[in-house]
Amino acid sequence: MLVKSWTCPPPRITADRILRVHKYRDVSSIRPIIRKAAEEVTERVLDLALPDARYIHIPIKSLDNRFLKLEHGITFESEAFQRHLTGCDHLLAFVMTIGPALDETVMSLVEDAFEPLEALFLETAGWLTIERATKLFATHLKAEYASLGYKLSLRMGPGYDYPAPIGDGRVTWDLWQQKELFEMFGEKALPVTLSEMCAMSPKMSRSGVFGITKKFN
Amino acid sequence: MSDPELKIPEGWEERAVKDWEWATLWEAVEEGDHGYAHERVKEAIDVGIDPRVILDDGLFPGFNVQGERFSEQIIFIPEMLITARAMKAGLALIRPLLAANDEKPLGTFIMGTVLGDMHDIGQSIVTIMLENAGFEVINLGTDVHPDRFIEAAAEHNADMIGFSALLSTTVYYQKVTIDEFVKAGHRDKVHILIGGAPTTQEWADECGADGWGGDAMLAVNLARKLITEKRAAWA
Repeated sequence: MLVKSWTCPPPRITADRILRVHKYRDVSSIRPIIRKAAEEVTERVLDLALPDARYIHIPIKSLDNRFLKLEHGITFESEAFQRHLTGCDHLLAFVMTIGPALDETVMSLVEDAFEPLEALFLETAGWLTIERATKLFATHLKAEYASLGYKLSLRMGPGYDYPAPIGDGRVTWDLWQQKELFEMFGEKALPVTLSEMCAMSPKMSRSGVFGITKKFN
Repeated sequence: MSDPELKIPEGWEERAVKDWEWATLWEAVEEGDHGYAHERVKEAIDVGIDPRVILDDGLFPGFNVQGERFSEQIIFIPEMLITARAMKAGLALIRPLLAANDEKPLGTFIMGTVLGDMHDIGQSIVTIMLENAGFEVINLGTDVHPDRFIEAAAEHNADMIGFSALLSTTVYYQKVTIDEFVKAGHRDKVHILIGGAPTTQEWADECGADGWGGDAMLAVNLARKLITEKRAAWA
């Protein structure tokens, strides 16, 4: 199976967005020292973040109420699949990161320089960057697969919960299944590693899947 | 909601020197002016004010009022962090003097992120706040094995342990770690606080913790309260 790569320049994050994450509703009345710190990290994050994604798709063997079985023997389990992946014939998995430099700088700001505000804002900027880069990546994938006559399902990932197939409740896709998601890439080297407890490293990383269906006009 | 006012320590004039004023230091801590806070604490030391008095009368009022504002959601974590930096600038000068006077910290707190969890900014912020509140904090970092928490607690005669978890896969290790303290016969010697995004008061109750630090100031306030409750002594 072919593992493909994708990258993009780090998307620009605004100071207002960082400040809103930290509960400032009226960003016009924020103290200058705090605004300045937020503005500075918007520049700094551009030097520290480098979006890097890998992705692969594997045919789906079967999907029932609970189990999604792939060719090559990998099985995922969640009631959430029924609602979002029914009708899909392939499953695309991806891992993405903005790299380790931001994590290292955040810790250095806390432990060595004692600049906790800058560390907090940089961490937030990193989080916003990986979120934004993941959306850009999804847009790229949708265009790539659309050009081949396919469409992608909702993005899903282990550790998140989704509307239940029946009723108003929600169902979880267990985070432990990150292991199976990473196994989809076989022995290929990835820019993200997974710990025994399913924590991704670098911390600013994302993983997930899309179902792929043939597009009918 | 009313903005909490800075509480002026009663009788501060008697504990300072003639013509002394603390208002500028209170304001420096409150406003997060770490350079000026450092300067004012140095002046206070130079004129011979007792370091304990500098801490209680000079530094804590600004820190405490910001803590109250944070609890009331009038200010947010960024303001608390700049206050923390100003507080630390002053504390760095008086801590060696407090130690030389054989002044004990409010308590000894072992902090870390549970086994398997690599997230650390949250617990680093709690560490900063606890240190500012007068605790000695030994931060074990991330991915800390239960045995390491127990060893550190015994080594430092800890009063409190705090562990955070940020993942649904690792939160269970908070309970595992508490269970290990029970098995080792040390549970009654320490107060245990938990925190982290997937945690709740219900989980704290279920896993056998003494409290839940929902945010940095809740953790500090809880630690300040629990430290007054006596625990069994370390051998």
